[in-house]
Amino acid sequence: MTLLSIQNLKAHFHTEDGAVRAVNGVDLDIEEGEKLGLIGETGCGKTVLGLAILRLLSENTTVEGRILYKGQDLLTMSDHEIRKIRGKEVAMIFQNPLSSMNPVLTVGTQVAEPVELHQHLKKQDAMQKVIGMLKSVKIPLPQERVKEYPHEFSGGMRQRAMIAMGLICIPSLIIADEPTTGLDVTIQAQIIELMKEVLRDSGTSMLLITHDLAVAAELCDNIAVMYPGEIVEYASVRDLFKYPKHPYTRGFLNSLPARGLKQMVGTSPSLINLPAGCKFHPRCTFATERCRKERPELIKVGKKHYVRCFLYD
Amino acid sequence: MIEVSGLKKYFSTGLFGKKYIRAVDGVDFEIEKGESLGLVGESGCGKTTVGRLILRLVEPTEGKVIIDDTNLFELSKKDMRKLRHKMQIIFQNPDASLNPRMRIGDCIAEPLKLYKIVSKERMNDKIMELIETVGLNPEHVNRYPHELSGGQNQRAVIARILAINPVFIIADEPTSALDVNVQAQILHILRDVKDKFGLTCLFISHDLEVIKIMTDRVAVMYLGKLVEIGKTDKIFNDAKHPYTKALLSAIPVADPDVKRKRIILKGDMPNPMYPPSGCRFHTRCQYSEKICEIEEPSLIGNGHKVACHLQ
Repeated sequence: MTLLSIQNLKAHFHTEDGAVRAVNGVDLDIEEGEKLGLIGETGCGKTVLGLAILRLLSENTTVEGRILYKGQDLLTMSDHEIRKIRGKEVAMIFQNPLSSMNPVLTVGTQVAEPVELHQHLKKQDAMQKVIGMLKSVKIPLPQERVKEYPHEFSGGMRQRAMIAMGLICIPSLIIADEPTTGLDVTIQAQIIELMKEVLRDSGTSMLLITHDLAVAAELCDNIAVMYPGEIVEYASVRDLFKYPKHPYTRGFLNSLPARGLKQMVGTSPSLINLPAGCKFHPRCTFATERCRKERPELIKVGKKHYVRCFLYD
Repeated sequence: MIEVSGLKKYFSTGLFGKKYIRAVDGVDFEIEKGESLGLVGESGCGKTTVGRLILRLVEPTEGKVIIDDTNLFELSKKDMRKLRHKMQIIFQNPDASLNPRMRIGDCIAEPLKLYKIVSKERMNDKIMELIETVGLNPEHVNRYPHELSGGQNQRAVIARILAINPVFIIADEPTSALDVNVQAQILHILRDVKDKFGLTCLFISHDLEVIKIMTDRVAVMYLGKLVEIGKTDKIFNDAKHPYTKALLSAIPVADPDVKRKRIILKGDMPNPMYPPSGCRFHTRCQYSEKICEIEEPSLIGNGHKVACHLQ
């Protein structure tokens, strides 16, 4: 069953230099229990897409389209209703746990906040639940560590606490924005294994937002590739890595050190000044006149494999 | 060409400066002329401090760095300055290495003027030549760093370094802040200029994939000490030290068909203020034995050296 359905989503910021068109007509479905990876380079709008789902964008943003969560449109909900969704039904894990945690509150208090708010538990009961949750994300001596402050935790431990905070209400969907970026490889490996385990146990769906293809390959079932503001390819992890279709996806994969370190010409366009037609055409070796004028639609090229490119028209 | 021996750096800390963070605690290695040595390790292992010590950007607690028969630490400030143009460093964050109030062209011209590399008349030609070497466009010369992207700024940094004809370059996480495609472009430039000018390199990174393609030999560092050093292909295909093995198995692979057994290390790296007794890795090592807690292993071997009791 479809848990979250994003339909023709647009998110534009209004700045002095003009409109920053961060998300430009994105359609994306997440099924129950699915782990979907959203990958792209810096400034392609992937984080904005994640924030738009929970309506966490600033007020100078225009958001259009529909985001249906279990059939209800999150974008038209009242503030009161969306607050019941945030943290309870759909939770978020951010990249930098140090800046997303309150430095003057103990870790226990912060992890307990969602349960106190949504499940109306008493302080002691909530704390018991927190200790259990910290234990399941493998934080040693949880009954001691709930009393500590975020700065007393190491980077890896803080990220574990963030995961505990996200999962404590057993949400149906978790949006994880670069959850392992900034961690050392051995700690990243610990967190990847931990996420696999806790997601399997809770049956929670995940939208993983990352620039790291390898992390997405390990954690996800399907992958959507984003190139300034739009999805250019969608496929199962296996299809994407074995049979990438879009020239951008291929270039992206080939520029990985493990895959030959081939360079792609140019850089991503600015979100203020997007090219007409296909957004990738200035960098594409296969670009034709049509690519410069017309915007390609997502074309079905296989079972659950879509690509936004005229080469497959 | 470069010989590092017994290098130590303790940073004093605490209220009375009586506690010491042992950032680098006895490191020995040498780099041959034209060779590229990789230094890998996790954050806080002391790899960046090693780089800074070699350039004498920080003063050591103990040890020697010998370049062409001269011990750097015995040189006067003046002599050191003369030597410094032969040795250059590329930092992780290019935006912070360029003066925000100087145009890219002026940034590159500065070392040329300082070391009187070319005459005033030839200055412009030289700048254009350097700009071209690193793949920037002539119009970038009149731009300020904030007008360029991270990748373009890193190119400018490389151009400025090449301006004074160094023989030895330290690259400290040169691509960690960049997107993969831009990373590929910068690594290509680094490889090209290294071949073109016959540079000797110390490549510091936590990214093993990058180290694998950029270096001839690799040294693995853990908590202020080297645990393994050897030829790059040996380290990647036939690692001996349990830490190196864990580090290698932790790299996520962008291939869903590759299935492998991952070694998950217990806990975090210990505090370098209170390093564990004996082998520093024993608290996280799955093979740890009694001897590992008591006696510190030394780095032994021929060519491929390992510091482990169980080898």
